[in-house]
Amino acid sequence: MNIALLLVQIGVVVIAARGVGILFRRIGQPQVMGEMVAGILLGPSLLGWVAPALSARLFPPASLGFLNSISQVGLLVFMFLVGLELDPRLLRGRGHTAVVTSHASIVVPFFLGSLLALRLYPRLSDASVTFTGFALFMGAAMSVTAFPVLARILTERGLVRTRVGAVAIACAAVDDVTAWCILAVVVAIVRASSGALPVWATVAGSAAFVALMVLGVRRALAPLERRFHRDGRLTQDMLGVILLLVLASAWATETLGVHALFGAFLAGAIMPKGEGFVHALTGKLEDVTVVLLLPLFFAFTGLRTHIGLVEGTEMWGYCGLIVLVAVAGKFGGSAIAARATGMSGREAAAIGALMNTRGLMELVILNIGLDIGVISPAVFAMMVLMALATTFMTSPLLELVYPARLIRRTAPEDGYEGDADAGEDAGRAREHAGVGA
Amino acid sequence: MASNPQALKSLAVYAGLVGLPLAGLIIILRAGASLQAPLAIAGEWRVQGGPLAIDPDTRVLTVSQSGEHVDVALGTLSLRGRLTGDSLVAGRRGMRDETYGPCPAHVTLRARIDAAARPRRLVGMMGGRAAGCPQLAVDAVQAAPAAGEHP
Repeated sequence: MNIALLLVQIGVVVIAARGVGILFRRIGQPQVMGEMVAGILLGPSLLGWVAPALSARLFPPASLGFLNSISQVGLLVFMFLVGLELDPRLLRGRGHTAVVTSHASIVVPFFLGSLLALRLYPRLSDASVTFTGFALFMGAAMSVTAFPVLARILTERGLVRTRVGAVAIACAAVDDVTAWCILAVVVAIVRASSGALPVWATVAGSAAFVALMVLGVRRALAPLERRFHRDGRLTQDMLGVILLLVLASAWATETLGVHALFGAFLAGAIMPKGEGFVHALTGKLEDVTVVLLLPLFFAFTGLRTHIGLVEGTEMWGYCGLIVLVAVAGKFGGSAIAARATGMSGREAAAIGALMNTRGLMELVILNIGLDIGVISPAVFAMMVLMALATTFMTSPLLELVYPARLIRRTAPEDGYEGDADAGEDAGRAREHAGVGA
Repeated sequence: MASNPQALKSLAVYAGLVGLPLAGLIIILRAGASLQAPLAIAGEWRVQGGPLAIDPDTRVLTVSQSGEHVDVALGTLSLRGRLTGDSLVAGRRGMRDETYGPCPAHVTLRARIDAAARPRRLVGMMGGRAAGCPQLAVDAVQAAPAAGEHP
């Protein structure tokens, strides 16, 4: 391992991520959008294209394994933080609108993604992948919502204590859990077809492991929170125990044939949810993850994204179709469900625009898909472009359908069950917005 | 519940927006099971019977694949093409080098994949239309599938 080269790589990546991130923030976009774009710019789509010699010297293929390993550790911590943000209170008592909208915002894009697979599979996949695996993956990838980015946008736009905010945050929480569960099944199916563990063993093992974590480990963690309150701080010993739990959980799900990231997410989801505890834990882990490690993941993603593969009318046509289906499924499905269950047209459109945000959660899922070979490099590039497009369009689309002046006028009358909780939850999630925003 | 019109409406919306797509998904998975995707040829192919005269230093064809769309790298030569059935036709991309020995342009690989062979074989011709650019026989066997791909 060439340490000097690795340090230079990390430095270049951090500079690019912060620089482009700040530029995007200035044009009213979430910072994560700029960081994602910075990753693409460092890859073959720009740096490798305009300065191939520099690109080859800075990111030689042999060195990317180290960069990937570090970024994967960062991603494990990030997924733990996402799970930590997940509060079961978000899923309770949100009424018909939230239940119908959250389920529709998953099922409609999932259905449309699978429908699109009928067209794409014979052209952009190959015989090493089954249609079922490809279609289910396309469905899962279409149904993702970036919970952290959404929480950040809600806070920035003063939507947290409105009916739109309450429904959106509840739906995003449901989407998060559901999308990861679906993806776990897809990964199990794909890996089973490649001769790893049989799918029944993966599913049964995973179900037993989830039950153990939720029913056993979660209760065993309660003294940790009590000790936190007694000591008034999160000690290094406590942090060590938590990180070991994350690693053990990630190892278990990876061994079971799902993916290490599911284990990290699950470990976060079962953590005690007392606000002080979550805040302290987030504070310990967030900054290094956001500033140093996640940009490495964006860079690694960018280095695997060959936009040059999307060449010619036919390929750009498929890419446009993917973006269209993604928006129609997520925006359309959520907005129609919200409207049909009693929200106003503008509120329903705002829900649709918010749920359409995919952000870096989409990149996480796409990288898993490329790693296990269920999507091809061209589909990966198209889906990355879709993730960028849907994340980029969220703020302007929201301003168009639900302008800030209307939010301020309607918010006081829009009392909604659970508003206060949603406000606190989204407020805490905003802490993560750095992660996702 | 039944007396609450809003709940009934929500139930109807739920059936329409969740139940119907789920039913549709089952139909899609059944319909898609009969679809055929292109042969999986991504990975390294080792040239048999000595080095290719067109590039004596290179004995490995590296294929990357996105369905029908295929990139073939042979040393510094990069070709992009299409796989139709078992027939592969790839032409010069012209980006990685501007001159290539006696074949400055229009280098084309036309090959057939023998999917029944173990390991798989790629047999065909490569060359160009320019004067002095020979047509070379290519015979390669699949050495390793691409990372992440099923064997």
